Amino acid sequence: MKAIQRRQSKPLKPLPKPHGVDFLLLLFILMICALGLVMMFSASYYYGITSKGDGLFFLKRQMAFFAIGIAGMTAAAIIPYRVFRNGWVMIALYAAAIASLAATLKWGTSILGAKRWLDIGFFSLQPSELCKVVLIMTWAGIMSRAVNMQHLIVGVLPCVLVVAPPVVLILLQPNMSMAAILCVLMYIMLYIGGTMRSHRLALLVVGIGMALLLILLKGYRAERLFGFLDQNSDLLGRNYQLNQAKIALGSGGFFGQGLSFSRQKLGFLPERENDYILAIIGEELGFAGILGLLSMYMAVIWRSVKVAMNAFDRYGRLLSAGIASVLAVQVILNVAVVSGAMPTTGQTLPFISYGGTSMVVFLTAMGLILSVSRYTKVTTKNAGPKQQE
Amino acid sequence: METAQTGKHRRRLKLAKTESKPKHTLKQRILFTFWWYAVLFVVLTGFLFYLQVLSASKVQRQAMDQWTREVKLPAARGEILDANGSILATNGTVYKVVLLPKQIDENDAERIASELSRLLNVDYEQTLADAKNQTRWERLVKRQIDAPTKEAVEALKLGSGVSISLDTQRYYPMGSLLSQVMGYTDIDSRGLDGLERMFNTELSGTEGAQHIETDSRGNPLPYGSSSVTEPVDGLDLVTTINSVDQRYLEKALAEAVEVNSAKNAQGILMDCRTGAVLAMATMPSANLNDLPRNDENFADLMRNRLVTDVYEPGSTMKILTLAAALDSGEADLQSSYYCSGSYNVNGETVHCWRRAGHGSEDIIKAAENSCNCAFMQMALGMGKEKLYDYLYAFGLGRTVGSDFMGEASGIMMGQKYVTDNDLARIGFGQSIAVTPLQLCTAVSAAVNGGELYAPYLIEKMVDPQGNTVYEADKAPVRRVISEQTSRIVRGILQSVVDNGTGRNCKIEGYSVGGKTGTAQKYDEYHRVKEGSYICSFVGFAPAENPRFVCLILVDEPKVGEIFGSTVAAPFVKSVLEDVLHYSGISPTADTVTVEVPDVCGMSYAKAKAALEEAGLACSAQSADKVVSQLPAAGEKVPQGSEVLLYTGVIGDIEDGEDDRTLYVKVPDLKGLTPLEVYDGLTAMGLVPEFDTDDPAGKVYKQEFSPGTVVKVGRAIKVYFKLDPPKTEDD
Repeated sequence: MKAIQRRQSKPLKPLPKPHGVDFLLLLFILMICALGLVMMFSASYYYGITSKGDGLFFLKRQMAFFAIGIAGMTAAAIIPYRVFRNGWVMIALYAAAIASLAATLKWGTSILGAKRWLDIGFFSLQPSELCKVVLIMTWAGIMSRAVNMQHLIVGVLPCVLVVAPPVVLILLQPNMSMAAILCVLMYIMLYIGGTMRSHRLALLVVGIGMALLLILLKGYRAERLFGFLDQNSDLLGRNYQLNQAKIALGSGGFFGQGLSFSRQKLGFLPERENDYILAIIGEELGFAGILGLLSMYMAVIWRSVKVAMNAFDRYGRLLSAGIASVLAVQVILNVAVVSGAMPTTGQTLPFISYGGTSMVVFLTAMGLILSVSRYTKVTTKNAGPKQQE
Repeated sequence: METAQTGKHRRRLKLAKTESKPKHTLKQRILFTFWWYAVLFVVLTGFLFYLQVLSASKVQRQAMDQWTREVKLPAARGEILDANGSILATNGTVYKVVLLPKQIDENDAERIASELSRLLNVDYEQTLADAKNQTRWERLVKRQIDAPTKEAVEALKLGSGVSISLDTQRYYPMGSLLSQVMGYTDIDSRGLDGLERMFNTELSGTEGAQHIETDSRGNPLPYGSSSVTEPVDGLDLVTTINSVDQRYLEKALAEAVEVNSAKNAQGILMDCRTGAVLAMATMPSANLNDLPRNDENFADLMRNRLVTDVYEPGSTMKILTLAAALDSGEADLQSSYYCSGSYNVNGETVHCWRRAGHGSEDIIKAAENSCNCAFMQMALGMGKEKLYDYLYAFGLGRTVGSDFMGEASGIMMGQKYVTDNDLARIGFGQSIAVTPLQLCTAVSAAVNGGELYAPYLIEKMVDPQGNTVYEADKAPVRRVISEQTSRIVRGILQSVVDNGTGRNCKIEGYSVGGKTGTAQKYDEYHRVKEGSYICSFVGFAPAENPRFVCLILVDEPKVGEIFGSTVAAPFVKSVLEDVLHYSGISPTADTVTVEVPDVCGMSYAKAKAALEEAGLACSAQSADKVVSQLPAAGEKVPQGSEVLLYTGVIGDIEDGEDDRTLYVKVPDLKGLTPLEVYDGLTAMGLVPEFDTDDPAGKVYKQEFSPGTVVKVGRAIKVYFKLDPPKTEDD
């Protein structure tokens, strides 16, 4: 009984004196950003000239987003990450995310029947992007406090309850793929958090059942899902974008057409500076370029995981691992969609795709990992004695 | 309080109680997720490698198709030239208007459609739909528009979405000359008939293409490369046709149609020493630059009947029977025949054309009289095997040339089924059908020394670099009769012209041989068509050493006396006379030749004096200034020949872009015969329009009084009156 009392009321060990951030992590992030700016400029130049009359239009804006993102990252890295574990801060962030989603439903810009963007003057905010990282922070906070992750009600239920409001709000946009991604992220977090496999399997069955129900509710969803399996028909209609992406990738070959020599960006491939920028990278830099880019992402994820494993406390571990997962899942989804391995989900390529929300949110999230990295017990460079959890 | 706290603790205890510890530590779980991500990255990288490297070639074609726009580079169609290098068919430059919908702004579409529909006379709705149709690179609006229309379209400045490019149109500088032989093309310059179709492949060449790199809207890339496959231009055809001879022939045929009120007249002029066709025409013809393509009789009009249609040759066939009989030994110059007006073949009576009979006659007389009875006897004497062997050797029963579109092979009865009656009829040209080309070829072989030459139209083909890539084979096909026989045939046929039925073909100063022919026509039920005849005459000159063979057929003449001797012979004479003069063959010694002086530009009186001084006569339509003369200055003609002077006012009056219109003064026609009126008016470029169907007598009235200035090409109506009243003594 005493032990239990102690465990529950054990005050948090104060954070030690911070050391420098994980340099390699920062380096790889900035490398991806640099490549991203160059490629985004190359991909958007033609479209900028033809639609905005300024080839630099997208680059200028992306540079601004990048600057804001770097500011966000710096701030997040400087602030001790444990501030975000604070209940009130957690609730405030969560509430802000929910509020922005709700605001989107009310005042959002409607594109093709879906309200996903909130116009806030300077740029269009995509609250669902923001929501991904806020949810990771919320889950990390909840799980670091949970008495028993093995318990269905104590361990699993709070996480599910937290994800429910944003999922519902996003389904109302409607944006089913984004809602599904939030659920996948929750599943990963529940695994990392140490829930029971039987609970997770039960959750999986319920989730799939609900997804099927939603698919059957709207006929076009099933149509899209099955239409995806037939990629070689209707190349000028339904499969136009995917086919154009494949043409871009295929004509890139192993070494690519050379920087700025993409032809597909000349109006053939839609969303070239956005969700489909990987196809342009593949066309200009070839498979070699994509391999290099994916390696850099892998390096960022590996460094983040390393930070997570060596984090000072449970919250730091869960937070870093969660953010690394968001990054990994998003890159995997984007690559899978562009290469036709998955139906379209509308996920951006982090640090590269044009777009303010994505850029700022991901850089700031990386700032959180950098912050965690300042308090790691062991740096990877001089491997000390292995620490117990 | 205590119990409450204990309860709380108990609850916490219960919640904290674990049935099983998690298998792995948090660090391990984090590491596991990382490995999962790594595996997925590797899988996707493999998939990308497949897409980018292994199956990259699959998208290559699609990529090239959408990145480049193919612009066809048309190959210039070859020209068709006559033997002297005059152009018979060439290509003119016109324009076409094309819409590029991807470069048309939505708001401009209506203006573009309305302007184009107004200027080019195209459908507004269709043009509007084309302008808005974003799925097409380009839509053709109208082809073959002329320069002024093109300029009008350009002046509207309709933007880059309306493109004007070059288009070609086949152009025939000589208008209606050689029309049926030449054939015609469709709007894409693909040959549809005649030489244009027969040699379409050679004339067309190979189309080239230019591939231009573009963006998705079809705009060429500023630094894009473009690959060009150069077009290979078509071959030029050099024909054997001599356009001057062709003109003589067409002039004669037009007269033959007009004077005989015939359905049509056809003629061939062949060089019997080689088989080269020097002229080939059917009248009426049509202007190749303005064909009546929608006319229901268009196909009929454009058919080259000389090679596609067969007819019963009638008496012209007797040349071949004669040659066969002499060569086989069945007949010789001593052979004699008796004609009672009919001949009994196995109990059947076959009549001679002269029911009264020709009495006793030698072989020369029989030919002069064109006696059917004598030729029946020759045919029966030879027997069908021998005669058929000769006829086949003469090229009958199968096609003879290779340059002719739609050549027919003629109709010969199966040898097995030929009865004596049939054989007798074949002997004088019935029960057998040949094409005029076959007959002309066979007669050429009979008179040229006995060797058959395949008729041909294409002398050579020349590629764009000037290399000759094809040359006609001028070797004889086979020997048909001996040289000796051929000489006898020539002599007999010369005698036909000198003394017999061919009298109307005699030419002053030249020796001419020939044979008349009159054949019945059959209706579609193979019954004799009463009152319908084909009158023909085949002549050759010079008779001792033949060079020209000319065959003229007049189809369904509607004049009183229907025989080849009167209907066709005078026109063969006219052609041969012109051709002989033109080719520079001197008349025989008893005539003196003189050189024609140049009288162009002189007044009529002065010209007349100059010509008389040179020993020549002249005729003219009016006493105005001489603008042209025939024969031309410098030519050698027999003394006493008549030089035709063209007189009139010629004014250059702006009419359209570059059409210079000629004006002439209407001559006084009073008292002239139909033939004279025809010659006179057509020489001046006017069109005679005869008042009656059967123009006879002399002119008593004419449209436009003499001296009126009219445009060339104007029809002049002429009224005839029989004066003195018609006499029936012909």
